[in-house]
Amino acid sequence: MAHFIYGVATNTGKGFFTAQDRQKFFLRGYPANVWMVGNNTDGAMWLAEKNGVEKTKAEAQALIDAEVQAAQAAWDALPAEQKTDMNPRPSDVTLP
Amino acid sequence: MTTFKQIRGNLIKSTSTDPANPQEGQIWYNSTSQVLKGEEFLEAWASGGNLPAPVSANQGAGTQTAALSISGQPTAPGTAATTATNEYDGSAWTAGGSLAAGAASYGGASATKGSQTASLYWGGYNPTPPPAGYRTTVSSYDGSSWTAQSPFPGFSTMGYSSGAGTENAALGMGGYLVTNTYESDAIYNWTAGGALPQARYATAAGGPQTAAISAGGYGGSPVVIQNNADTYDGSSWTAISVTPITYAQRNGCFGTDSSDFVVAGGTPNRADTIAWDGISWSTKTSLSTARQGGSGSGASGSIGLISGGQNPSFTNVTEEFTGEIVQLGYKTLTSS
Repeated sequence: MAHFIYGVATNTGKGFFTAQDRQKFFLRGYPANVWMVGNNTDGAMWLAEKNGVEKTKAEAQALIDAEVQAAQAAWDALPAEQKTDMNPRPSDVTLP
Repeated sequence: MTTFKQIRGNLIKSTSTDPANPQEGQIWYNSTSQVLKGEEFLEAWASGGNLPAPVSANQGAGTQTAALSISGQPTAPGTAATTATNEYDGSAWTAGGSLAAGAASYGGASATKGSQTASLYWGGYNPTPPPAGYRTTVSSYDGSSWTAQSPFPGFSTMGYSSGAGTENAALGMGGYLVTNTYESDAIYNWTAGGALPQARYATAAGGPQTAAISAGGYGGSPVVIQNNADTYDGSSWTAISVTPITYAQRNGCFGTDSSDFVVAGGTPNRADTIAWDGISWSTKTSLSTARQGGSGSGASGSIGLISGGQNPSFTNVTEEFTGEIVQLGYKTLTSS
């Protein structure tokens, strides 16, 4: 059994995930509203209750790549004076 | 049969009542209820209310249940800084008073120990209205509206400086390759304080004017992200242990003072949470979603929040931190 499940769900704010949720299962958010969730009953229930759409790891990575690449393209188009330390080029994000 | 003493080196104490102040990890046998018990501590980030709109390089002040998110960068670089101030009540953000357009900025400094009804915001960068550049503006907040104060004195060198203190005793520190420190008083007069040991900007800063801390940021030659940290006693800075990671983050932090300080997230796109207890740095549970440029609010290192930021898209998400607080009380341990 895979250790993680992947899904897309929109963070609706307060209560979207609780401190107790974080104790019950692994949860990590990524660009494009992608969530990496510990593959246990609590994790699967959480994703279902949040109307999450389950994705394969490859599908989830593709969504992340699309958002990051769009941000990188926007950064590349900036004038040189705005490419500062305080505004670094978005780096690639890879699901572990 | 293996005993607890054999595997842990300790015996489990049998008591007729639960201990008044159990320590993390403590286990005991309650002979009255005939139940093996342990103390469960909870340390976690949980989702908070979403900001009305995405923003990054915003600044924070106040507590987890009475916080401010001040100004910031609403979308891509080159766009005008938002004048919006948003107020948090522990569950939802609502609009507060708006900054003057000329006082709004990316990455201004705020009196991070200020409250929702008494805060100070100064400096930062704004590409518009013209001329683009670092702002010298200082604005005070009374819980409903902002009032312009006398300009900040170190405008030419304090770009992306960091802020701490309160509305009536604020502290500005560092900036682009400078070691300046400025202290303000109750009528917003700024005077020079002790110089930082190292020129750094975009550090995480917090604490009151007489017990402040500044950590991380950009510095060195060539400029790179740092892990140096310093504390301030009201007159001079003292270097402390380096942070366990290198990061730059102006305000994704909260805490009591230079002995209780938490930093979460930061450049480059970090989810790490680290804490300084006055003696050493430790790592805490991570944010659910990595981000940089978010703002922090919280009166102590145990209860705080991070709002906004980018990862890489600009976000309106808030996460609330609860650190080492007994949430569930005594827990009956079962074999299942």
